[in-house]
Parts: sequence; structure tokens; C-alpha cells
Amino acid sequence: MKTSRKIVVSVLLGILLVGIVSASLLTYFGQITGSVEVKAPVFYLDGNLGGSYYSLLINEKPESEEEIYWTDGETIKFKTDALGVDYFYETTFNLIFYAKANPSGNLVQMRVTKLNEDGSQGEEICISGTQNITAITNYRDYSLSCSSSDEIDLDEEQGFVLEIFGLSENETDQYWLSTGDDSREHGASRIEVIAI
Amino acid sequence: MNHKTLITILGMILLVGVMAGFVYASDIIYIGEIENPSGINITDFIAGTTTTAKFSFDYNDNINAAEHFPLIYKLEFNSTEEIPEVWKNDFEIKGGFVERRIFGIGFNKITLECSDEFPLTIDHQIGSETIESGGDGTFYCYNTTEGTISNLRKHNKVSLEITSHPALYPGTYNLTAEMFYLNDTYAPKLRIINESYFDQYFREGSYVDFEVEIKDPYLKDYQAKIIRDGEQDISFEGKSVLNKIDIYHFFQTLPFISDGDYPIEIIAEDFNGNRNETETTIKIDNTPPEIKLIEPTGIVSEVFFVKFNVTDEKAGVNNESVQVRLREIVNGQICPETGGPIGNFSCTTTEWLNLELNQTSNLFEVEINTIELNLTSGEYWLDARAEDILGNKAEWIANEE
Repeated sequence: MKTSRKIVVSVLLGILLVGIVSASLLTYFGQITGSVEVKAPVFYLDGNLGGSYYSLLINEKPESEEEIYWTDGETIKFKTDALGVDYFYETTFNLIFYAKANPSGNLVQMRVTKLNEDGSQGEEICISGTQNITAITNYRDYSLSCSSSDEIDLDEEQGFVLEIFGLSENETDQYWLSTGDDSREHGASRIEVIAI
Repeated sequence: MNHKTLITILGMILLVGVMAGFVYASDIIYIGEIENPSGINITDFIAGTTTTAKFSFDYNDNINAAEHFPLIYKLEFNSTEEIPEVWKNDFEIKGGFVERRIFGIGFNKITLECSDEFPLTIDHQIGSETIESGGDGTFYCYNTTEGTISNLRKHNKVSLEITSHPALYPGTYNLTAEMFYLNDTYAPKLRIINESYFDQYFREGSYVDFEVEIKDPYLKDYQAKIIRDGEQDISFEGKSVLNKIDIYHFFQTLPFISDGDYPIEIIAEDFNGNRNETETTIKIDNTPPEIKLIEPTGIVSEVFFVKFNVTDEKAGVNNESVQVRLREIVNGQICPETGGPIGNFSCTTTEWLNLELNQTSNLFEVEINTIELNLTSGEYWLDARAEDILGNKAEWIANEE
């Protein structure tokens, strides 16, 4: 409904504008065209801790490589700055990350939520399936993804939060996540956004 | 190396140079007025970052448009089949510039302002236009005060800085740039610099010069003249002033003009027929001061005062110019102005003596000491003279015992 109303308004404005341009002081000189492909943003995981959150940098690779360590029962959280938009299109958040675990075979999961203006976590947007972390000594690339159920309504001061946590419920199980290393085969740990 | 070989080598060097220049220049596509070839070069970018859109055009292709500067660019972002629609604030054009680029070197850079807020009023030194509305994704970029067609003609290249928010739907967007120019509807702006210059009076032979600020990027003609009813106007010479933008110097040495106040009319016209004029008044004074003797009124001896009432209603008395002189009368003859005897008889002609203004009585006066001036008893002519500050001279002559 919102879309069709907007189209009608646009047509009316277009007619009005043509009338103004042709009848006024503005005189037509020439026209040229071009096109541009806009790619979806990339959210880079940054291992520098600020308060209880790590950073999720928008289109900006972290300046340094960091290693994040946590154990089961803990959740590591990354947050964006305020996005400055009032919606985000229906999307799949595709997390590409480098991790290792001890012992091997621990499962991890990710969740994406809104970030409120006061820094608290807002409602959940989506939660992923699980990923089996088999690497023990050297980092390996893994991926997780989840999709929003619809267009995401936001306030301009809101952002996103990425949570990553283990599922073994054994507090001695350990996890490591590498951030900021863009020299890895698949680039630095990040979330790629895919419009649905 | 013989002469023929040398010519061949020089010819090849020249040919290579010409070809190199052509190849270098050929990557810039200039557009004409009507043909509308494609040509916006915009780098693909990630939502939430900034990119640059560039296009080029050759402004001088059309004679009719040559008197205008295409200062307005209408930019429209449009969706394609894969994009739902373009919303307001999806894109932002942060600004840009247009400049001449020849062989990769930029000249005469002009900054552009961009806006998608409507109604949008574009004020320029040649005119003003309000655009009441525009669709989502529509921007107008324009220059305001800088630059004219005189410094931007060919090889113009526009560069715009474009950004978007991170939630912009990914995909291909079309961008259209339409160029407009603003019709010149503004008349030249005129302002007489230091108009108080005309508070003073002038007379025949006065060198009158004044400056006028005339603002119009397409100024064609300017003139200033004194208007006289029933008589020929007196025109001033006019020239632009070096190193002073928009300042014009008018000057003339006045011929004789009767006393009175006359309008000076200053007219300017631009190439598009817009005309403006302003006026001031020039005051003419050819009348000398009036000189009236106050003292002495009878026979005087030894030391006495000479007092004159000297007035000038217009330009005013030149206080340094009021003077008197005594000339002895011997045997009924007045001593020569240059002094010396009359025949075998000696006689005295004094120097011109300055009179000073007495601020209390407002009279010009001087004390005459007959002893110091070696004046013997007898009959004397008294001459007086004065000028106004323009040099209009008055003389007064009387005899005194």
C-alpha cells in the first residue's frame, strides 16, 4: 500500500516539475545518463573491546588483528554504530569468520539483534543454525547465516548487534575468534549482507 | 645526417606528438547540446560509502547558449527492475565542482552546491529561480556566485561526490544528469562609490572623476553623462579599473556649464538587454565671492584696520585668497600695479597683503601700519581680491585717503 501511494505522488510531482521547468527561467541544455551498481554493506568484526561490546565496523576493515577468547557459557557481542536509517531491507546476514576451539567439535551459533539507542540490546532479528568448530591449533574459516523474516524497522539511532556463543554448556570448553586479518584466504571475519 | 633525414626525423617526432595528444584527449567525451550522448562515469560502490560521478561536456557547441553558464545540473537516481524504488535520502550528493580540464590539468574550478530539499531557490548573480518540488532521488547542483561562461567554455568536467546510507538496497541504479542554464534576468547592479564626492561644487575646467561599482557577469556597455535640458549632454569617459573587480572609473574635465544642479545619469546594460541606471547630482558654481568693504570708512592715520565681508553662497570662500593692496595716487595718477615711479615722481604700491578671517565677526581683516609700510600721507587706491574654493575670482577696487 505504501509503495503504490508513493508512485502516484511521484507521477504527480513529475508532471508538476516538468511544467515548472518548461515555463520558467530554467532552460534545458542537455542530458546524459549513467548507471551505478551499489553493493550491500559489509560489517567487519573488530576485536577491540569497548565496554561489553566489540565493534562491528561498517565497510571499514579493522586496523589491527585481534584474537578473541571465550568459554562456553559466555557470549561475545559486536555492535555497529547507529545506522542512521529507519529501515533495513529483508536480508540474510552471512557471517564469515575464523575460529578454533578446544576441544574440537564444539558447536557455535550466532544471533543478530537490534541495538537500542541507550546501548541495550533490542529485539531479535534472526538466529542462525549451528557450526561445528573442528580446528584446534590453526584458525579455519567457518560461516553462519540467518535471515530476517521481513524488512527490519529501525530508528535512526539504532544499529545491529551480533552475538556468537558456544552450545556445549561445558564451561571449560574454549573458543578463539580471529578478527582483522584481511590476509586470510577469505578475507577478514565479517558479515556480508545479502538482500532477499 | 643530411638535411632530408633531419626533416624526416622532425616530422616523425611531430606526428608522434600529435597522435599522443589525440590519444590522451580522446578519453574525455564531450557532449553537445542536443545529442545527449551517455557519459556519466560513476564508480560502483558499497552502500554507506562515498563514490564519485563524473561527466564532461563542451559548452561552446551552441551559439545560442553561449551567453549563459549551465550552472544547474539536475541529478536523478532511478531504480531499475531489480530495485524496488528510490526513496528520499537513499542517496546524498555532498557537493562537487566543475572545471576546465585540458590534457589532465584542471582550470577555473567552480564549486557546486547540491540539494534535494524543495522548494529550492537558486540565487545567482544573473537571476533567481525557485524549483517547487522534485521527486525522491532528485538533486539540483548549482554554483551560486563563482564563475561565468567567460572562464568556462570548453572541456568542462563535472565531478560530484555521492554517498548513500548503509541500508540502500543493493543493485544497479540509473543516474541521469540534465543540464540547465538560468536565463539572465538581472540588470546590472550599480553603486556610486563615495557619492558624497558630489557634495562639492564644480566649475569649468574642474576634473571630475568618480568610481562606480557595476556588477554583472555579462556587462556589455556602461556610460555616464551630465543631462542638461535643451543642451547637449556631457559624457564622461569610462574605463574599468585594473585590479578592482566590478569597479569602473568615469572622468571628464568640465566645459563651461551654467550655475545650477544637474543630474549625472549612469547607465549599464548587459549582453542580454538587461539595463539599469542610477543618478546623482553635480553642482556647478561659476559665481565669484562677493566682497564688501566694512572698514575703513573715512580718513585714517598711522595704524588702522582694513575689514571686508567676503561671502560665497555656493562653493565657499577660499580663506587664503582674500588680499588687499594699496596704491598711492600721485598727481591724480594711480601707481602702477607693478610698482615703481610715475615719471619723475616716486610712488608706492604695496605687496598684496593677506587678510585673516576673524572667527567672531566673520570678517576678513588686516592691520595696516603705515609707518612699517612706508606710506606717506596722501591718497591711496585700495584693491581687494578673493576667490572661492573653486578659483572663481572677485576683485574690488576703491580709493581711500
